[in-house]
Amino acid sequence: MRPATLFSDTHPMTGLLRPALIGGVLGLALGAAALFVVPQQFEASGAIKLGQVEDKPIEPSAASLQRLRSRALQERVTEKLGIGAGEARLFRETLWATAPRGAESLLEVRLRAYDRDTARALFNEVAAALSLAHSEIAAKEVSRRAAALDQARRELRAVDAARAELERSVGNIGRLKPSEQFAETIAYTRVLADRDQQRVELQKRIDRLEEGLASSRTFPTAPVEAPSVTERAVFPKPSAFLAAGLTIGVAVGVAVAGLRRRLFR
Amino acid sequence: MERALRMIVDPANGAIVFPLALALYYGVWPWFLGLSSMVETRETFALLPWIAAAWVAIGALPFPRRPTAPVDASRARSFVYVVLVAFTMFAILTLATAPSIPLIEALRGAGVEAIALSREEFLKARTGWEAALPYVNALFTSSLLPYALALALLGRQRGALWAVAAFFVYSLVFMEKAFFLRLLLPMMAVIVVAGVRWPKLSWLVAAAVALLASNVVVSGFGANGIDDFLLYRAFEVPPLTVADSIDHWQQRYAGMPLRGATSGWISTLLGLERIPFEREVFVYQFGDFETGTASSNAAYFVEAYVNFGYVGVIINSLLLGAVVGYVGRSEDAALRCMLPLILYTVFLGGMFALLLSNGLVLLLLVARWIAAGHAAPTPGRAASLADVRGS
Repeated sequence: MRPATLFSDTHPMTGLLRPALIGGVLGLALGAAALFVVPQQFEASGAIKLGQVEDKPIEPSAASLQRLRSRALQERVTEKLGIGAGEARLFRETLWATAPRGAESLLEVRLRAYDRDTARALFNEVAAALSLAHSEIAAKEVSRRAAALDQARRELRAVDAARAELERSVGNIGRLKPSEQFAETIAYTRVLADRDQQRVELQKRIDRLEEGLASSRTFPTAPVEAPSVTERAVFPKPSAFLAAGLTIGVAVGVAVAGLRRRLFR
Repeated sequence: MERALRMIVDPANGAIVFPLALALYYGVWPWFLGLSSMVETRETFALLPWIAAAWVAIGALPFPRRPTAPVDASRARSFVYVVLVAFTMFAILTLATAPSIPLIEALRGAGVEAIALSREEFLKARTGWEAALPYVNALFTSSLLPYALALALLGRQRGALWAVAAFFVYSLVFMEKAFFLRLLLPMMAVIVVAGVRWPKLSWLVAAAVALLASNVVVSGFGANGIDDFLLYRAFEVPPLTVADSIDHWQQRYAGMPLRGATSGWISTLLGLERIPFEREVFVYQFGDFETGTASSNAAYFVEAYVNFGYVGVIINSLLLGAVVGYVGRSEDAALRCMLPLILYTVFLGGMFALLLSNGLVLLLLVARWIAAGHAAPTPGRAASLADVRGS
C-alpha cells in the first residue's frame, strides 16, 4: 500500500490545512485586537539599600522581604497614595522583591501600575514605608548610642575641668615648705597621670561611638537611586498575545475541521 | 492499571499523551505549588506549556499511523554489533580513566558532597581529550545504544538480554538517580510494541521506584525521608526549575532573546559566545558547586523561549510534534520504542541537545538506513520482524 501523502484523500491532514490557516489568521487578529483592549501596565524597579546601625543590619533581608510582602505594609502604601481598588490589587499582585545572592544588604523591588507616574510613586512609597519601619526599629538602638556618646562627652568635659583644676593646684606647690613640696608633687603627678589615662579612655570611647554613628556605618534604609520605570508597557506583551492567538486559532480551526469531518463522513 | 500504563507507554499514543502531560504537569500543576517568581515569569509560565502542548499536537498531525514493517535484518544486526562493541570500549575507557567510581564511593560510605563530586568528576568535569567523554556517553546512552538494544530484542538476536543487563549495570555505576530510565523506558516500549504479556509494566514501574529509592539512600540524599525526596524531585523540582530559569533569564538578561547562545552547536554555527545557561540557573538556585559543572535543566520549551521567544517555542514544538508523529507511528518497531525516552528527555531538558548531542538526528538517519535496506532486498537478507505486529 502506498503511504498517504498530504494531498491524498486518506491523509489525516486532508482538509485540515485550510481551516488551520484561517483559524491562525483569525487567532492572530484576535490576539492583536486584545492588545488594544487590555489595560496597559508599567513597571517600576529599583534597589533599596537596607539600613544599618554600626555595620549591623537593622533587620535581616529575609525579614525585610517578609515585611514587604505583608498586607499591612501594602495597604499602608495604597492608602497613603489614595489609589483605587483595581490599581491597589494590581500593585499587591505584582509587588515582587528579592535579596540578590552575594548582596544581601540590597533588596531588588519591582511593581506595576496602570501608568508610569503611579508606578514611580508606588515604588517610592514602598521604600518610604520600609524605611519608616526600619527607622522605628533602629531608633532605640541609635538613641542608646547617642546617649552613651553624650555621657562620654560630659565625662570628658568633667575630666578636663578636674585636670585644669589640678594643674592650677600644682602651680601653688611652690608656696609650700620645701620638705612638703616633694610629697605633694608626687601625689599631684599621680592624680594627673590618672586623669590623663581616664581622658584617653574616654576619648577612645567617644571616637568609637562617633565612628559607629558616622554615616558610612549607620544609615537609614533608602532607595539606591530613583526607580527606573519602563518607557513602554510591560503588559500586554504583543509576542505573548499574538502567540496565544495564533495557537488558539490554529487549534480551534483544526479541531472544528476534524470534528466536522468525523461527524459528516 | 496495567492497561493504563500500556496506553501511556504506547508510542503510537505519544501525540496525545505528551501534550496532555505538558499541559497538566507544567500548565496546571504549578498553580498548586505557589511559586514565588517574578510577575513576568508567572505570566510567561502560565502561557508557555499550553502553547507548547498545542503545537506538539499540531506538529504530529501530518503523520499517519503505520503498521509495523520488517527492517533489513542484516543491517540491523551489523548496527547492533558495531554499537555494542564501540560502547563496550567506551565504557572500559571511561571507567579506567575516572578519578573515582561514584557507586564504589557510595558503597564505601562517602558523604553526599563526596558522592556528588565523584559523580561530576566521573564524566562532566573531565578536561583535555577526556572532555569528549560526556558527549560520547550522551550519544550512546540517549539514542544509539537503546535503539540497538530494542533492535536486538525485537529481532531476537542472541545475547540481547545480556547486553541489556550490561547496560543496566553501567547505568547504575553513575549514581545518577534516574539514569537507568534511559534503558527502562525503551524496554517498557519494547514490551508494549511487541505485545508481550510478561513482564508486566506495573512490575517494572514498581522496580524503578524501588531502584530510585535505593539510589537516593546510597547517594545520601534521603536524610529527610526518601518518599519526601522522591516526591519533591518528581513533582516540584521540574516546574520550579522552569520558573527559576525564566526568572534568571529576566533578571540577568532582561528578557533579551539569547539567539541560540545556550546551545553549543548553534552558538558555534552562528559565531556567538556560548552561554552556559543551565549552569547559571543552577548557581541562581543553589549557589556555586565545587566542579562548576552542575546544571539545572528545564523543559524544552524554556530553552526555546529564552533563545527565540514565542516563535522559537512554536517552531520547536512543531518540530517535536513531527518527531513524535514520525517516530511514534514509524514502521520500524525499534524506532517506535525510542519515543518514551525522547519525550522524557524533552520533558525535563532541552531539545537542541536532544537533536544533536544526544544523537536524535543520527538515530533517525541510522533508522532510515536500516529501513532502506529492506526496501531494496538482496539475497541472503531475512526479515526479522515479520512476527512483530504490535500496532
